[in-house]
Amino acid sequence: MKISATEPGVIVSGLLHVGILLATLVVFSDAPQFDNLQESVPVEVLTDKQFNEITKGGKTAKAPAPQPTKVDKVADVPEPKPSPPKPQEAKVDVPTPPPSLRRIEEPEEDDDEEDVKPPAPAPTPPQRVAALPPPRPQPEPPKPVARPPDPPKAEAIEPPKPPKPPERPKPEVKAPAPPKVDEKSKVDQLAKLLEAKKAEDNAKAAADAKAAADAKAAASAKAAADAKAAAARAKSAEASNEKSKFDPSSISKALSKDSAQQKPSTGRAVSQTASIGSSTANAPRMSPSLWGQLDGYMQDQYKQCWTYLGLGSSQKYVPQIRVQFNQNGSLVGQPELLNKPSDPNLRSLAESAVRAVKKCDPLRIPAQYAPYYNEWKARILRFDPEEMAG
Amino acid sequence: MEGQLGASVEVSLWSMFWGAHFVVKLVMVGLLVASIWCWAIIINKTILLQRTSKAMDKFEESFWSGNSLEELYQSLSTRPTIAMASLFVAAMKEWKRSFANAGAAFMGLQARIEKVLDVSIAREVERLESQLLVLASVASAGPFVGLFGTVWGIMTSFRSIAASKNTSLAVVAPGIAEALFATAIGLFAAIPALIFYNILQGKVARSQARMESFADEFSSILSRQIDHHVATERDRAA
Repeated sequence: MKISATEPGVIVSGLLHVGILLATLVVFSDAPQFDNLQESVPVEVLTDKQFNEITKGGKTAKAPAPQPTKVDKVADVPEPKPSPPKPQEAKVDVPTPPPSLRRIEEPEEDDDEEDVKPPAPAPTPPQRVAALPPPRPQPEPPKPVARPPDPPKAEAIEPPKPPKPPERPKPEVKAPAPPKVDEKSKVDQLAKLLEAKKAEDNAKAAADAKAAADAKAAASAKAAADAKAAAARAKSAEASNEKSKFDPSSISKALSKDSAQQKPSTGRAVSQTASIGSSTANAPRMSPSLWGQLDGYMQDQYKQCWTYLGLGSSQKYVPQIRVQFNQNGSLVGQPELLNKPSDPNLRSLAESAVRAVKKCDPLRIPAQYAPYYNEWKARILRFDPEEMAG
Repeated sequence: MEGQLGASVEVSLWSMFWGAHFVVKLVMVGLLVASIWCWAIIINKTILLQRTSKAMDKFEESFWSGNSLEELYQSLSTRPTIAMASLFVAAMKEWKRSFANAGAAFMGLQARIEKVLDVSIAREVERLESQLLVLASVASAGPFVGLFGTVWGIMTSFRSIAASKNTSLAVVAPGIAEALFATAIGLFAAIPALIFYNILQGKVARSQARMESFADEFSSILSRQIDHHVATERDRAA
């Protein structure tokens, strides 16, 4: 077809199509998306905390199998636990004692040598064996010790200097060690220890009265004497244990150095042993399904123990009994009836429930619940006649 | 038109075309060209038919105005004519040629003029309806060609699905959208072609009817003239 004025069809049509194509290109550039219809999925709602605890428990679940023996120990611990160390003091005091102890012992072994640097490597092996918990400080402290040979007196004077936090005193305490290196008798070392204590006390200045410091010093002197006798044979581990006696509060803090920074609660201590040794882990929490299972176990057993031929009572009464278990499922103390019935007719029901609890005394708790002992050790049992009858 | 059919997920027009199989691409391009061609024909034919009907109106007006046919022929024969005017010119030419040499046979003149008019009508109609068959072809074949592209595209996309072993809709959708795009273009070309083919065909038929009626009338006029001439010749001879 010729392109002419009389027949403009090709041109017009071509332009038309180009226009339409461009228009559709624009229109097509973004395809509208359908609204997403979300499927409904049954969900068990857990808080983040719960989830973390469950997963923590899950990760550690396999490994702790050999631990039950450890757990037993821990189970005993929480009850007698006398006094959790106060966190504030722990932070301040903890670091100081252990390094000084080690330093004292190092020189003893290297009696003749004056320079601490060369001996430092030699003593390390025993130290490692003895003081596993805080391995880091060992290699570092000796060096500063060697350089300032006569600082102790200066430091003794210094105490006014440190207006800042009591952190300063620590290096100073380390400093007094060198003179001890020179002296061979342990009595002298003990004297130095006293000095160190004093230095510390002075550093704290505001807090502690001198009299208290002296008392402490005296106590430490006795303890140190004991320590000396023991340390003659044993290595630093024993020594540190002995030392802990003379100032139980501070030394116990020293030993629990790592955990002292955490909240010192009895529950914590148990949980740490239950989960594989990681200090940051929480106690494993029982999942809802575990709770359900445990309830089932207990219900089954109590059903067998409970014999109650009750007369139908118009009143709805469910005796509630508070029970405390040992790790092995045996009762701790007497079961306590929480809601005593006002109606004397119902008393038999309540008594039968208490009897049932006593009859089932060593309750069989599956081993899988051992790590969760803290959660189920105290329970309130509800003896619902209707439920139990089934 | 295209937009409504080819709705797809994150697939632009261009990517739909570019991602298609070679055969499907060929089909799409062919259908697009056919569409352009159809529209060109539609536009040209519409213009031509309008001009033709206008010219016929004008000619009929001047033909029935009572002017001498001789003058009308003189004015028309100098320039190219269309439709009725060309019929008139052709018939007049034959008439003149018969009278040019005196004593020519009047016997066959009537039949010759009829033939000339018929041929002229056929030529005019042919001119009017030329290429309308293209519209008809596109109208009837376009959907099938598009369907072929779609079937081919779906075939390839199903083969891809089988190969990738992934049947999620997001994977399947682009291929099917491409395939359907071919049918969309086929319909885009065929629907206007069909509509305008019918319209134009009707117009051409009307023009043809008009020209045939004019030819009949004109041949009857000429026949009367011939009879008149024959009578006068016979009178003169007698």
